[in-house]
Amino acid sequence: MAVDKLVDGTQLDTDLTAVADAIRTKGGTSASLAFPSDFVSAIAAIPTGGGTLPLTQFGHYFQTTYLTAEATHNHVKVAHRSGGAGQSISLNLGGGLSCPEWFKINAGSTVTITYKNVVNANNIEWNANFKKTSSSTSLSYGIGDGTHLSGATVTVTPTADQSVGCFFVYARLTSGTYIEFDVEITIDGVRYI
Amino acid sequence: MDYVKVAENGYILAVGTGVENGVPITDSEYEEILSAIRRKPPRVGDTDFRLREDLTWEEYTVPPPDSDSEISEAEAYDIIFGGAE
Repeated sequence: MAVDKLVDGTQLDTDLTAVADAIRTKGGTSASLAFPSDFVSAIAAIPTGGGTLPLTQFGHYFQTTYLTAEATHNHVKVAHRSGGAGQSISLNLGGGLSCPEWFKINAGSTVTITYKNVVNANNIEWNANFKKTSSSTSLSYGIGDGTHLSGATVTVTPTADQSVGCFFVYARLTSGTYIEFDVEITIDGVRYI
Repeated sequence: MDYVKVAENGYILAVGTGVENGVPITDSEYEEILSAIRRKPPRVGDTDFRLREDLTWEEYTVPPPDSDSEISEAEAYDIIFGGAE
């Protein structure tokens, strides 16, 4: 091997360990990883489709008349700007008002929706459901209520096939308040959001 | 476990836990409904089946999908939010 650069060995070890730790965390393993072969293999094994849909595949969409909102992957924060009236919000975690169909949930499948790291959910009226389009609903029954605490999980087994598009969260915030949470959605044990 | 069923117009739409508009059911009722769901006949073309409250399957014709292009964005907001306060 040719040598053409001097490097800080300690820093290099630290940096490679950071990358390896990230790979191990993502893969849910504690195995040691040889560089570069195991790094390359682990990254190549990351799913690119076929059922794992990242939350940001179609982007996020918020009604923003009185709101400031931000979302990163499955983390959502919505704040009601002071001065406005109480406001219903819709957090479309799958696209615009016209939701593209991104998955079919078969009858008998078990859908779980888990809210984590919830901030300010108490005393705020909110629920969530799936919608296929802005006007037609699919799996449209309310999920959750204003008393959900961090770690709460809702499970749903539909009796009919459901074509779902966006994951909508509705909340009624009063002026100056905000709500923040992480959401995870699995279908038959496989995580989709 | 606190199971619930979601029903509308005499048909069971789902069972689960923590669902806001669900009616509480016992563990054995949950298992009975789950068993019925597993016996659902397959859909053939536009003919599908829906679960009655007596846990029998009723054949019906699936309606055509909605058209998104028929309403404006403002109309969609009204449908979803019923108008902001």
